[in-house]
Amino acid sequence: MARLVLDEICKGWDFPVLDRLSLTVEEGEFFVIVGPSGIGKTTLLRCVAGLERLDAGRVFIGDRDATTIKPYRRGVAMTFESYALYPHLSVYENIASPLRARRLPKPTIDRTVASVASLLKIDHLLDRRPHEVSGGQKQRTALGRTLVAKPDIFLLDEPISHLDAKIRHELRRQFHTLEELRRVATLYVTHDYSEALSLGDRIGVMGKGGLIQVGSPRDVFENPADLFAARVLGQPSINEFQAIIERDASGIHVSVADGAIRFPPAGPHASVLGRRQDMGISVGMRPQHLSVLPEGAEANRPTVTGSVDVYEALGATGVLIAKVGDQQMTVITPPEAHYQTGEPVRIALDRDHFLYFDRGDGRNLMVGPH
Amino acid sequence: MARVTLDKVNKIYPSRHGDVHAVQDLDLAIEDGEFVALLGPSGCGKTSTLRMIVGLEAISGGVIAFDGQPVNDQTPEQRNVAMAFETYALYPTFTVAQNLAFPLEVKGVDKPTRDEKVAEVARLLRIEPILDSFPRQLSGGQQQRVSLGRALIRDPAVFILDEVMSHLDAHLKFQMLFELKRIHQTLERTIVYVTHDQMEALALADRVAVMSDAKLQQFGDRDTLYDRPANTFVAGFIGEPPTNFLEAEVQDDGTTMRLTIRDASAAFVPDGPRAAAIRDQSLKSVIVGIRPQNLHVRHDEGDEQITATVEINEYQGEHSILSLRDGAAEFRAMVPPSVKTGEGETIDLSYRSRDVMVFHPETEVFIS
Repeated sequence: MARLVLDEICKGWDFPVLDRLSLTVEEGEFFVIVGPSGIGKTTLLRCVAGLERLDAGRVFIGDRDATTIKPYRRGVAMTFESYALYPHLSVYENIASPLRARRLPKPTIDRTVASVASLLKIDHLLDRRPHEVSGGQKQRTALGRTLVAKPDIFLLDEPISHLDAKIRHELRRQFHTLEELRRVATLYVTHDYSEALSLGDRIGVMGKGGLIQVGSPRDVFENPADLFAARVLGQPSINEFQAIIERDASGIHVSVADGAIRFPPAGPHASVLGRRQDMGISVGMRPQHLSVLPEGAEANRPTVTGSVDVYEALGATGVLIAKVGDQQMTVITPPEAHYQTGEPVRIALDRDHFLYFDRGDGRNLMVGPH
Repeated sequence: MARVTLDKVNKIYPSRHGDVHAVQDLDLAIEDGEFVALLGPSGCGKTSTLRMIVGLEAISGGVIAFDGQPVNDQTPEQRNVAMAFETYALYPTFTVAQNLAFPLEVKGVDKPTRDEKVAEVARLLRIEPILDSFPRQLSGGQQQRVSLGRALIRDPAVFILDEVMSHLDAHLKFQMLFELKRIHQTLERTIVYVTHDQMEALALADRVAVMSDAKLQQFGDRDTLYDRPANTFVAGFIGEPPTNFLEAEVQDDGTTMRLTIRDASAAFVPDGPRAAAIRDQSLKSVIVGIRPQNLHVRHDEGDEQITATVEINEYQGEHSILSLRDGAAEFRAMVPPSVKTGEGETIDLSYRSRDVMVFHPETEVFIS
């Protein structure tokens, strides 16, 4: 049992993937790193596992400085996105391999493999070889092999990303309750923000060089540190508009595209925006904070008018892309609604939830010193 | 352009543990120019089906025909099918333009025609600015586009896409969904798209063929699959989070019917037509299916209500998912993120009677 401490770790020189990244994951904590692909999430895990050499910084596992310890002596278990199963061994033997390495008695191995296999719903495949099972089943075999290992630290690299929605939700629920995971420190990486928000005790948003923001899922989603963090979390992506602040006798207004979208910001936002000298900002509107008003409906919020560009009915919701002036606005709609291209729409703005960013460095104007 | 029909198609793989019946008596008629998705969990037989359509896999039984002509004995080249894969499989030493032109070069098409086709496909896929780049200089989404382009350029009769988006980031995937839809509308080409992701299938396809256990479960458009799923499998596979299924006893005094959840206190009230159907079949018990989106914290006029205890409140940004318990019954509800009811607390949830789906207790078939 141990906590994981990363102390200013660096990887890469001219274009560092990890630039003085520091992070502590407590014993029993489930920490999720979320970020776009290619940003260095897997490299970070490989550094912790000892599969990559650090260029600077230290890794501590418990009280031990593990920086130069060999991978197999670190007490970490890792899943790989490429599964890395033994092709000549059966699913059973693959899952059992860490237990055999510990020379456990056969009945114990049988019991452990059977329980993890039923948990992951692959108990009917134990005799098959990796090439005889599907991709999703391979992924679960790799996860099973990691779960039985009883390490101090779990490192999970997109362990459920390629599974269908049904089994993904089942496994998510199990991640919440699995004793094995909840006892030790787990570092989990994913590009799926909803997985991150759902699973993480805390989450870290990874950008170029390291972590942009660390916090509780709710805090990071509702108060992203900057535009990058706001973009990483949320699907469809947040609407971003270049806006200017206009002042007149009635107070201040946020204006986009020469006034095609124009509204007075919510009270707390208005006081911060009102103090700005530079009038150029970016305004962020999440699609679920915009809604199409039924014809003739009274709005108790500001509205804009536009026309339907594309409409797509997904399962639980619909996604409508509207043209407002020369801008595109993505709106979440209820599943019953159907829209035709070109149809005029009136969109209500739930401005209490809008986000405002500095146009230069992208930082959230409502977070930190104003 | 082609109409693709599968008639009682079977695929059997011999194996040292006995034969594996990967595809069983599959009937499917894909119209000319239609965009069809093959959807199912891993191991359901969708990839075997696709490989038989392409000609990469022998057909163990049944007939696959293009425009009425059986193609069982034709090679992939003769069938004129193009395929794009999950992995991009681009030639690393070729530029984007060379990658696109290669299939034509192999066919011996002359250079001016090749250049013209490359320009046309690049315009369609919006990759003109990167024609001189090498694959390693491109993002995943751009590489995927080039890979699509290379399949398109051959002017195939049928265009097959195998899990082409499963390795793309969520944001990129979303863009590509709209893009692919636009491409299909421009080309009006028959497309068969294989995926395990129900959201992709519903968003893209005119009709979706849902497969499980080597068999076709249902073939229909989004509204049919969502509102009138053939059975519990389809109801559970379409929609995210998955539909809740609860075993229930039928209590009926002739005017109002209540479906009381086994070993729990909650009861669901079905709407009139469903209650009538249950009466017609004189069922004593049923399986109730209710989607997590259809359990609300908001109470509207005419809604019915149940009460449950929260076990997990998963915050997801746009919404939260509550894992709930009532006696021995477990189910989920999708609620606004402002709901902060925590572990161990009780919550009242509303639903509309018409959102209560009912399935036969043994056959698990939808009762309409």
